[in-house]
Amino acid sequence: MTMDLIGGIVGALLTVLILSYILGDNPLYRLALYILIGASVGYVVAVVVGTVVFRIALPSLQQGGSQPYGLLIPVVLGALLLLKGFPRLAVLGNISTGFLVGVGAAVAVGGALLGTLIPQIDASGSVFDWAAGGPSGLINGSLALVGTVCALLAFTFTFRQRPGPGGWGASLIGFFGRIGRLFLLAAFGAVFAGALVATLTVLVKRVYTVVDVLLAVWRLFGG
Amino acid sequence: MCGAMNPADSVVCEQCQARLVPLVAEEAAEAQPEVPSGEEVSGAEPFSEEVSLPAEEEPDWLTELRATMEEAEEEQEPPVEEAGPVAEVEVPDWLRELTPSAPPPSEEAEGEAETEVPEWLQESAPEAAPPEEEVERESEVPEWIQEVVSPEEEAEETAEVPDWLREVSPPDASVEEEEVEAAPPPEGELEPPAWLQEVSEEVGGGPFVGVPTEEAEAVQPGAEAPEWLREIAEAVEPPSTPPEREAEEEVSLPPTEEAEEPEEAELPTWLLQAVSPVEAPAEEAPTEAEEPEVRKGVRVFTSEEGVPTLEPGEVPDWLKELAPTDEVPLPVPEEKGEEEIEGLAPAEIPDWLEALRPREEGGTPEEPVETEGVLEGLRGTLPPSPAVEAAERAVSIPSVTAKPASIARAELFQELLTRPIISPRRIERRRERGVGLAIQRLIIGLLLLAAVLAPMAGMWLPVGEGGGSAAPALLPDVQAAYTTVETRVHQGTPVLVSIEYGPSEAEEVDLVAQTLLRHILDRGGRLILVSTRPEGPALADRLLSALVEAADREARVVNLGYQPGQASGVQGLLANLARRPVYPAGVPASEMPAMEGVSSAEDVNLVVVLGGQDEDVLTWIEQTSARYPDLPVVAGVSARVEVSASPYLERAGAGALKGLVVGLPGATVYQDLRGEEDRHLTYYLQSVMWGQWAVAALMAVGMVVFLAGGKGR
Repeated sequence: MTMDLIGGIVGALLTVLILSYILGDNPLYRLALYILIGASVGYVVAVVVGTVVFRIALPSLQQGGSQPYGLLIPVVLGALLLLKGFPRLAVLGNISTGFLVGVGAAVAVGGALLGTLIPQIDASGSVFDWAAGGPSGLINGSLALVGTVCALLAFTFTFRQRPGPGGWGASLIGFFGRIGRLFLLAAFGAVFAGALVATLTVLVKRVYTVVDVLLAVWRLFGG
Repeated sequence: MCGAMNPADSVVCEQCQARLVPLVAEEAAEAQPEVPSGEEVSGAEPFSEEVSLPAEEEPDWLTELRATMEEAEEEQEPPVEEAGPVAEVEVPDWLRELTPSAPPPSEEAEGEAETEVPEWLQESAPEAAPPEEEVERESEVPEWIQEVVSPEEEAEETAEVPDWLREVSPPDASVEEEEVEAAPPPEGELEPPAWLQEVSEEVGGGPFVGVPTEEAEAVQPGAEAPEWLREIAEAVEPPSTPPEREAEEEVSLPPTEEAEEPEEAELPTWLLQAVSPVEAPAEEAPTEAEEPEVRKGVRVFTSEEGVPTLEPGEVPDWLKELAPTDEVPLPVPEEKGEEEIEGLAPAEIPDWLEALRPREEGGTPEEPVETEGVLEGLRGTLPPSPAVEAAERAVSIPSVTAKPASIARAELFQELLTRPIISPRRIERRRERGVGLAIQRLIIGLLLLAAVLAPMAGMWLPVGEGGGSAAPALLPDVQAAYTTVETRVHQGTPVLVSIEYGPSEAEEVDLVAQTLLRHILDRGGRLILVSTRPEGPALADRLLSALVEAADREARVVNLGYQPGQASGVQGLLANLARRPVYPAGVPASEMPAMEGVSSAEDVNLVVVLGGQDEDVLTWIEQTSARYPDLPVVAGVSARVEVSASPYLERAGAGALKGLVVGLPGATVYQDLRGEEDRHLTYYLQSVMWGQWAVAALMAVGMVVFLAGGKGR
């Protein structure tokens, strides 16, 4: 019996325990769930500590030169972040938290602006690119533009319905907003389909794994 | 005061009905009708009865003075010996400063005592001391005063100065006065100011000298009297009254000690300055023998015998402006003999004066007598005043009006409290519904399982036959990914691969990852793996173990491990790849053969993102395209990420993502593009397709059942 087979058996057993949830919540399901969560958390902690502390921080500090001073600030900030676990000293951890939030937000906003917003706006309004794709390109481009605008209008909740000509704008926004909701429904349907496909793929893979393990055990015992 | 002329025995002004005789003085006068005889006070004329101004005519400075007196009264300090002669008493600075410009006071007709003179002037003016009858007059002091001050104490404390006077007087005033009293007065020191002399000459009075006073040895009950009584006496105290006039006017002014030695009187500076132009020769200074004449000089403040007095309404401005300020010391009070209260008829005490009456603490008949304890028989030992005062200080609580809502809540709460206790009933589960739900779950599970296992059995294969190719139609995004790898990856080309999925997505994404990485390795590329998820390095290791031989691993593959920091971590990683430690050895990546010539993302030819979650994939796409716009990116993702990643495709116009391989269908197509055939993928794909059909069927059945059930369901 090889380690692969043992690992396969354990994996198959845990898979069956998880699938037992089809009969409702039961201790076997919970046992498998706890094992999964505990193992994941333990592994994550071990990797983070091993990687950050023992593979990045300490070796760099031991090397000498100017590099340790460069790591001194991150180490101090990290130490302060650990104080967040102590209510009386949690205030000191706000420095690290503020630094992380500030830098993270700045980097994320910069990336989102240059990598998402500007390219998406450019792609949505490139009429000439649509024309280059022929009639189908024009239709697809128009649908993308209309869908984008209407989806944005669907999230407009501040316009008040007023009688008379003054309320035309609100009526138009309401109308295109309802169209945008249709696009949103289509998008949510696509997301659900993708999630369903991903889930079915995992299910299929696990079922095939269990079958393979059963066949291996069957063969092991002379079947 | 109206200033009208009134008879000498008038108590009230006939014109304005203002009281002309002070109250205390009247009492004293009634109790002691005897008038001191002798010429020593003949020249002195008492102040008019109108010195006690009505309350409405009180100047402000007088009010402030009374306030000051109250403060002095509160201190309750024992009086000190007062200076003997008036001449030794230092006149307040405010009086000195104001006098040089002061005109001489006007004079009223003889016998008329209606001159309006401010009280401060009366208080500061010298007072004629009556003859030695002071001790006898002690008995004429009202009883309530005698209760406070015993005759013995009065005799002993004759020269004691009140607190307020002690504050006003210089510290060494008493010492100086004693010295002056012992030594003969210097000549010419008591010369009156010029304006006084002028007035005196006009009326034929004698030369002005210091303030004439009577014997200082005389017992002065006023010194031992309560301070409020002294204030009363000061308010009504005339400077000096000739004995013969006192009987007529029923006003007897008490003699002062200072009158005994007028030569020793120390004139204020302003008086000296005023006298200088018409300075009297030193020999003209009165001596003790000339005491009657000396006392005539006091007539400047009186109206006797043509001596200039102040006519009603003719009080000069400089006198009116003499309102003492806070800094101005109080005028020196004169020691009052018993004559000041002699012949005074009892009168009503003004309100303001009544307010100054000291509170009788203890011993009052109204307070109860202690009936037990060590204080038995004593009265007023435990005054109830603190409790009374505390009650006065108590803040009244505003009335609270309950709102109807509050009343309703209170009633509801009362109802709940009065409601009988009901034991909670155990809610019985609808067993039928639980069983039905479990059956439904079991049916759905078995149906999905059957759909998934059906292709394995080789039955009813929907696509192909016998496990043949189940590849769907050619996906353009997969084609673009394949083309990108073909064009960008060559022998020894470094490729940065990001493992952004965990065990829960590994069953799906591993199919895509193996397909893409195998292609890259087959193209001779070098793999530089990194992950922003802690589980990533282990999954990458497991993935590479199946793709790369152990011998070639160091030369072809390097695992940089976990990169913390999300977006900022990706930025740092792209900027510096060579300084990362290798997983799991921890050695610097720059020492690995696979990292040869690679220091940052600029040195790699392709970035492959393998992810199972939206955020991780988008972060890599954004950061890479933002920092290195020309660096091609290919993504192999889970099916759930397809919707999020598709807008970044170059085909869509965004331009950052060159190709996209999504899930099992994408991996299958990619393998078809490479000309590979994996029967496992075919079975997987067929099972997924059967499963999708099963799910669609279940959704349709559920929708029909829901619609058939109507609102009741």
